[in-house]
Amino acid sequence: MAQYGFYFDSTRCTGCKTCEMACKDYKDLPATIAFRKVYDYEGGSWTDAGDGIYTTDTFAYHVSLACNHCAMPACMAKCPSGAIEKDGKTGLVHIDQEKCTGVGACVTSCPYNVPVLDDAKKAQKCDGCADRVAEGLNPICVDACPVRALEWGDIEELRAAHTGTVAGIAPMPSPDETTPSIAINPCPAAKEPGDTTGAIANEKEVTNVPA
Amino acid sequence: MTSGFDEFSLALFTTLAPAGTIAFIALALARLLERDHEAAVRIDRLAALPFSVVLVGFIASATHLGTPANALHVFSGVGRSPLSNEVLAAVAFLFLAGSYWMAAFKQHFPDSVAKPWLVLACAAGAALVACTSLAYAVDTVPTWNTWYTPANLWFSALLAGPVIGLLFLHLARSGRLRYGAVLVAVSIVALAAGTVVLTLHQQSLAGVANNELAASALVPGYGTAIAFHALAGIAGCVCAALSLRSRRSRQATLALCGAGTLLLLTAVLVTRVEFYQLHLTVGF
Repeated sequence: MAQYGFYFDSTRCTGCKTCEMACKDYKDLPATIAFRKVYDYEGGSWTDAGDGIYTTDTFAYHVSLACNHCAMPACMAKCPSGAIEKDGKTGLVHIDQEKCTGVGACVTSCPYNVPVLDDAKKAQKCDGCADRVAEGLNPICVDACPVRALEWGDIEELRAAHTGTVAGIAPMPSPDETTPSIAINPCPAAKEPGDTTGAIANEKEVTNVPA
Repeated sequence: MTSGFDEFSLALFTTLAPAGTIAFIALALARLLERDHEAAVRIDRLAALPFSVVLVGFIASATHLGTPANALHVFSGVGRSPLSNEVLAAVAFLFLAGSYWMAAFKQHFPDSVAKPWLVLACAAGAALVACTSLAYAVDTVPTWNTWYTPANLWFSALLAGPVIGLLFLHLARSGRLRYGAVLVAVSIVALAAGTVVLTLHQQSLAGVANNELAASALVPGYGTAIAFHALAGIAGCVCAALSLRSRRSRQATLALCGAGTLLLLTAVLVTRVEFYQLHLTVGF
């Protein structure tokens, strides 16, 4: 079985959110739902040396995340109705709307804040644009990125093509939890998962709070 | 990041269903020990009451389903998903307890049928409380995935359940003093142990956080809730104990035990609301 996934180059991402908007447009999502979200992670402070010299360790970077189509999806493990399935050919995780009860166990258990309940009380999430992938195309977010910070393909091939990738940077959790199918090229400012020196600066934007 | 009141239906479910189950078991034990046939029949008739308490909880939990039409798919996850196990245990208990209550209306309902049926229903009830207590073992939610969660649920059930059972036994005029005292004693022990576990849980939160939030920030009122749980629990147990005095009028007995039941259910509900406010994943 191949395992498809995203490559994200955080040295390129400018945080413009074109990926997020292209996805919302293609998937015709309401204002309150985004399948791809761009997290702005910022931190640091200024230090006054007392002699007119200030030093700083401030940092800011962006992490563009959709569903990571994990090797061990927490959402799939906890779904009581077996509505979440992992495709045998592509490894993509999708939600069968005919089986979803809307109980929200996936929303509760996903550490990446990916599945959401829509107005019809059904769980929705990024399906990796499975229809486009079946036609040999990239997911819409990948093609939309103006700085080519996103790539798509067999995750092992992507990891081989880009050396030095990691499967998580702050504010993401440790990849040990669910083995996400993502390869990230960390920018120099990127912090390790579990970092406490920074904070998500666009909290309301990424936690499904209506704008 | 949902407020506890979004999950109020689940707080109600985890208050009522485990307590109603323990109340059913309390009634069943009284029925199994009862030698007087008339008294046993009176208990059989009232088996519908703890059954109803569980059913109301179960219905409350179903309102949490966005698409109840797909609810039957839940059984496909039995063995794999803790939520599926919980629903199966609830359905098994409701079936066994409800069918027992109906079957007991038969004119000839010998003890040789009644007693094994009751024992089976009690076993299903214990499985229901166990499955409910384990439904929150989610690896990615560190605030729930601890031994405090099942312990709290069991102590909550054993706090309110016996007094609800006692109330129904009073209603069945089967208030045998010694058995009633045992029930109240179970509640008192569960209150003491439950308060200790809640406090330990609250203290353990200091070390739990993700990138965004410290767990303790999610429940600023946890300490107050635990104090309320203890005080309402003491008041409820005192009411239940006072209802045991044989010289009281029937109205006073029922009023005291009814007040005790309400106090204990409120004590449990307050801590359950805090529990759902504590949802926090290891990530966002």
